[in-house]
Amino acid sequence: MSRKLLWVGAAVLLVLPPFYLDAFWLQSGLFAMSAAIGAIGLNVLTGAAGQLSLGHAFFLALGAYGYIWLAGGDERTAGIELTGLGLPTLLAAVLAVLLAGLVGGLFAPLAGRLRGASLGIATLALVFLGQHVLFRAEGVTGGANGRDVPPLNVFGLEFADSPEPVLVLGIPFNGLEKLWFLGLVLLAGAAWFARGVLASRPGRALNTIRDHEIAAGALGVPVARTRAAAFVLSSMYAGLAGVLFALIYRRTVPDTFGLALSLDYLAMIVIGGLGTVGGAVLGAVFVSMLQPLLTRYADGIPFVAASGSAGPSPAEAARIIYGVVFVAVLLFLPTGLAGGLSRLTSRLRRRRPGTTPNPPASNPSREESTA
Amino acid sequence: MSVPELAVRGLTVRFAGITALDDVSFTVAPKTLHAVIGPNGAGKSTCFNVLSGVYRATEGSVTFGDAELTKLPPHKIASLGVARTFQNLALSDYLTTAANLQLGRHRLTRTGFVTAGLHLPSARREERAQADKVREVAEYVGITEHLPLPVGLLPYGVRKRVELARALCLEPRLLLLDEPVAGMNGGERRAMVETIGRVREVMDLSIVLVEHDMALVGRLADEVTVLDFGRRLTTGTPAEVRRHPDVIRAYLGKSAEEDPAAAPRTNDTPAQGQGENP
Ligand SMILES: Nc1ncnc2c1ncn2[C@@H]1O[C@H](COP(=O)(O)OP(=O)(O)O)[C@@H](O)[C@H]1O
Ligand SMILES: [Mg+2]
Repeated sequence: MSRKLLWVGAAVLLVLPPFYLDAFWLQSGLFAMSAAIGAIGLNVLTGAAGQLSLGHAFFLALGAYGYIWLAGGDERTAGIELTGLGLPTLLAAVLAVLLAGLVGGLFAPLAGRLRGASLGIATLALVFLGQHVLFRAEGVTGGANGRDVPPLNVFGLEFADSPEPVLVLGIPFNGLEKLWFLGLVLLAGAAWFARGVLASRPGRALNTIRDHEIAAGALGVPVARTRAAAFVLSSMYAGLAGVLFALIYRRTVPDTFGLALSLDYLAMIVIGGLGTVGGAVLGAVFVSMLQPLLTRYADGIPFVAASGSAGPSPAEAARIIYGVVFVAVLLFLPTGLAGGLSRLTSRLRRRRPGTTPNPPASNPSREESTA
Repeated sequence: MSVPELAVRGLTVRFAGITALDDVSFTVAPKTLHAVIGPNGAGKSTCFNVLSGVYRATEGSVTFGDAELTKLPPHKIASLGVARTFQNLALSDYLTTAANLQLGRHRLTRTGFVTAGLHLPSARREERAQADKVREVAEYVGITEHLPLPVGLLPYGVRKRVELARALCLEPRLLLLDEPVAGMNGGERRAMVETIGRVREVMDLSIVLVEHDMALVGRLADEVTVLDFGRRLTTGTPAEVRRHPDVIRAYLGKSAEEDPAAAPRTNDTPAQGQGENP
């Protein structure tokens, strides 16, 4: 009952921002949504299946540039001959996600056989390879200068600014306002799907592969195939996050998709909580909202420099802070923020009389001989 | 579902420098309980690891009915109805007992990434049906009260039972138990032996059991194979084996003259784990 209320409350809160917040916050929030989608995917792979991936940025790039290339047209800007298929944008978005999955699938022989840290090293190669290709393939990516992102058009509804924006409750609905709702829908769908996977047969198989690979095999789990499937799924989540990312920023540069982005994603799932959807979302919001918060309130925060003066920039400060939080979580909150939060709420609930009691306390008595 | 014969023929397993199994042969007749005994390092666990596809045989064959197990990957062997437990527990500590048992249902269920992700009715239906089955097995093994708890919180003896229950969830035709009562106290031991005896009576399966305790083996086994330093010393009924001079010398050591059923030479404490092999 109270749980349902909580969800309704959250839904209402999430619908409000376009009516109250400016473009800066909308963009930051949308970025957090895109990050959350990507982090959910990484958490299926790294959290649930124990497979380290440093290549998440590569698959984000595939989604972003896949969309741009599939939807964009042939054009010439700044002396660079750009190519594109000019497909309908919705189709391009779907195909971009599939493309990320397909490339993830090509990686399956490695993703299935390598375990844990060794996969991390193999995927590291992907990031570097990806960066190289992105800078070189100017016709697709626009090179170092980047390329404009064609706005998404879903059956006539265009997710772009227009000279005469629609008014919703007196508020002009431009690209970001519309994208906000698209982001919510995509995130909700992504979370719903991942919960379904993690809570049932495939999720348990992934967990068992993580905890005891040999036992998983002996119980009938095709270990390599299941790992490869998790890799493909995680790639598709990254692809979707990449598409949304491109739509939010309207221009994409290859620099974005470097190793640092992959590490950001790892930080998100560790900070938020490994192996759960809630953990991924929480971590993504934390990591990706830190920098905008610091940027906006730099003047009020002692050690962060406002633009132009000495000291760490908001971006650097954000990295430092989440680096510290990362270590603190590793040391003190092995289940991440999500785990800590759920422990806190269950403790509060236990204190309050009259509410549903928790499952039996965690000290099962030693089983006696009569069985 | 019929239970075929398990035939181990000329099985040899070599690791760098060590011959863990040397030309071992034995046959497990359908629906019997076959014990494999031998001192520490005799190659018992290695034998199980070959049977379940974890290790490759250097030479020899293992057939279960028509299937040649030495050529199959572990999950294919499991899908033939071969289930095993591990000497040093191999459970997912963070998952609940129920979820661990549900994994035992993996080979008998279908739900994949897409059906699970889309929350399709078939996935929910299957999940519910499996939960019922899991409950049934848990009751049978006497661990119902532990179903909602993470396995990591359970005492060692209970976890051993959880592993047995997980193996039973596979509905096996061949059950491989690697030292199922090792590290248990007297009461837990008796209960486990009683459960294994009941499984054997009631279910349609063959059991291969690795155990140190001669008295226990004598009570449960139809046939016993004795391994020593990777070689098979003898196979026979428990009574025959106990009288075999090589067995008395190799396995029971000097204490044999005093009491053949007494604690064997190498009564290790597997709770600490004893090898890096699974
Ligand atoms: N993976 C492995 N690599 C190298 N040697 C192994 C491996 N597994 C087992 N052995 C060796 O094989 C021999 C038999 O071991 P094991 O089958 O575990 O014996 P038991 O289960 O009878 O105590 C031991 O000498 C052990 O050290
Ligand atoms: Mg052993």
